[in-house]
Amino acid sequence: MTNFQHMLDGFATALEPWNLLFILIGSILGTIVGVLPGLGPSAGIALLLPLTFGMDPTSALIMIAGMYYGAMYGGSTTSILINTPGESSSVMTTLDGYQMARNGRAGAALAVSAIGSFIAGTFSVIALSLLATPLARFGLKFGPVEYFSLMLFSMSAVSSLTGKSVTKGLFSMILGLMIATVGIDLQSGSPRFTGGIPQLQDGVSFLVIAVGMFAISEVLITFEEHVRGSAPVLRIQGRLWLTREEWRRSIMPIIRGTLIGFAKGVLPGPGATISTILSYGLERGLHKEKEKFGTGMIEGVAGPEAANNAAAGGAMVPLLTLGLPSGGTTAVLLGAFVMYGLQPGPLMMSRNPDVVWGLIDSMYLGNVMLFILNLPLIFIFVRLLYIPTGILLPLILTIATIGVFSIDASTLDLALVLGFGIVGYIFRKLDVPLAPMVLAVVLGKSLEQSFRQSITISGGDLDIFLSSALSVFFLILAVAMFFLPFAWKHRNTIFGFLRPSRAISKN
Amino acid sequence: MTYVFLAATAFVIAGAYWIGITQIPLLGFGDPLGPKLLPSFLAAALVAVGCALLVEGRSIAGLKTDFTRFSTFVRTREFGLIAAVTCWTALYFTAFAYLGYLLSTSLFLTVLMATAHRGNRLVAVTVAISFSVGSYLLFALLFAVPLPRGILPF
Repeated sequence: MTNFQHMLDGFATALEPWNLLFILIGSILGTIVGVLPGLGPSAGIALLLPLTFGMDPTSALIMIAGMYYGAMYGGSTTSILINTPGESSSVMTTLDGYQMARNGRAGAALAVSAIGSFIAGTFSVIALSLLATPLARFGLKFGPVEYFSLMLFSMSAVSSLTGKSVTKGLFSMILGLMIATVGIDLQSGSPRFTGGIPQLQDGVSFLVIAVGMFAISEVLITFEEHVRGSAPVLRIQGRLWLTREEWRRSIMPIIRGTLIGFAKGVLPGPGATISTILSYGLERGLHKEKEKFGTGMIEGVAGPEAANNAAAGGAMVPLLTLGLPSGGTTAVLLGAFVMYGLQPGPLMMSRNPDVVWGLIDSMYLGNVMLFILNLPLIFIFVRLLYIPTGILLPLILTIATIGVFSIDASTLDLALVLGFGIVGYIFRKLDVPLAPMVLAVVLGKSLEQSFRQSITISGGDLDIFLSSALSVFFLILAVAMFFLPFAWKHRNTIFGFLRPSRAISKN
Repeated sequence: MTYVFLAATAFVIAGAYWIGITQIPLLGFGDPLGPKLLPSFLAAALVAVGCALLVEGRSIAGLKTDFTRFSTFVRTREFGLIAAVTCWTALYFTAFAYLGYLLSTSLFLTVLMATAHRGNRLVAVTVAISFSVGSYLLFALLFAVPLPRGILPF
């Protein structure tokens, strides 16, 4: 069957009435999650995941993917109207988006954000369709040695590029890997780190960790902000569309943001946040009136918003074709796949083409639905910002409780979710990134399996990881990831050191 | 202090994890070291990260600033509220199975909302009770989520 036929079959799946309904529900729930202050996409998806229990896997994943890009669409609303980014990738939008709202152009800021998101989202889905099969074929060449190195590279990238300190990222990643070792060892059957508690023999549920680390900790942080007082919600003023001049100024930043976002999204590491920073920097660098950035320039909203959404689409490429999440939210998505008995990667493309292509094609439809729904319904979504925090946060805690209890009807899970919530809260206070830990929990078992398979093949010789060119390449990249932030921090010293030596060599 | 605290945590966890590694039963066949191999690497890596954290946070001035910031934070209203919310949630989870979803959630939400909501308390209580009943009907009866009945007959 050709790629095109798979795509047509995917559309047949996505266009089934039930699946269309799930795309719609997922997109709306995602937008609500994105708009609600105190709930990021990772937390929102982890919370809503239990709602999909018992559903057909394809429909469930279609709905979850809808939540993912719906949350990306909705995330800009809080940045623009209350100067509060729902997640790190929306920080750049606040710089000019909020200022536009203060200048009476909130409508235009929301419109350019929706248009940018739509263009970027559509581009990234088309690129995903084109790249999926070749990348999956490439992935089929990977053995356990290459997979181990690739996973190590992915985790290194997330650990070193997320947060302010590489050491803190590593600390978080190793803790995640340790948690992943809890339970019965699948190869030998030996119980490990269970402390004699029978419920821990299956390991710690990924959902418990995701809900605790992302949702509960976020609720606690928002409670803290609630005590300090919340920012007022600015009213949407002016037309909810762009003037001809605003169109002219936005189109190139959207295109540039889309390309930057997609390229960064495909690479491991926190793609969305970095791409928005790169896009904002580029737009500011290219503009004649650089000093006006930060006062309500539409280019400062159009570029980063497009980059944010393109990165979200780009991140689906390694997730679906190689089974590699590139950050916290895609780690939650990978967890969702695994919960439904599907292992994303090259084999999924050939074993479950209906699921993969149904999902990809549902994204085309979801993007169109979000674009059509989002602008007219923005006034309804904005009402969510007026829900009092003192009422909203306890409700989120209760929804989290229902979700976690529904996994195994276990009170131990409730205790664990609160424990991880407190750990997540402390991590946030101490600037320890959460994404490396969640990513390590999701990838931990596969990493150990590949590691042990490789060691078994080599008869205990660790040199096997240097026996394949691909493996060496990924290992070099993994090591480079740890030096990159260090080199960037000391770039002036390094350049200063290089310049005189060049001068000497010229002489 | 942040780095020192994290380093100390890393050493404690690595120590506890190491004890756990020694308790993994060794098999007399197959790959006897298999289940212990990666955990041993991880314990060593966490100790190395702990040392790196100590080196990174070695500045005495930084230690003092962090300590002042921490002791100020512990005395704030925010910290009190977070501690209270955490304890109340822990109590809710403890009573969850015994009292049942409906009763425990109604109590949990009523107290939390009445305390945290700055507006009309009556609204908070109404939302708390109606959400508890509504969510129970939706999840337990419609979606068949196994929520505990507890001491109530329904």
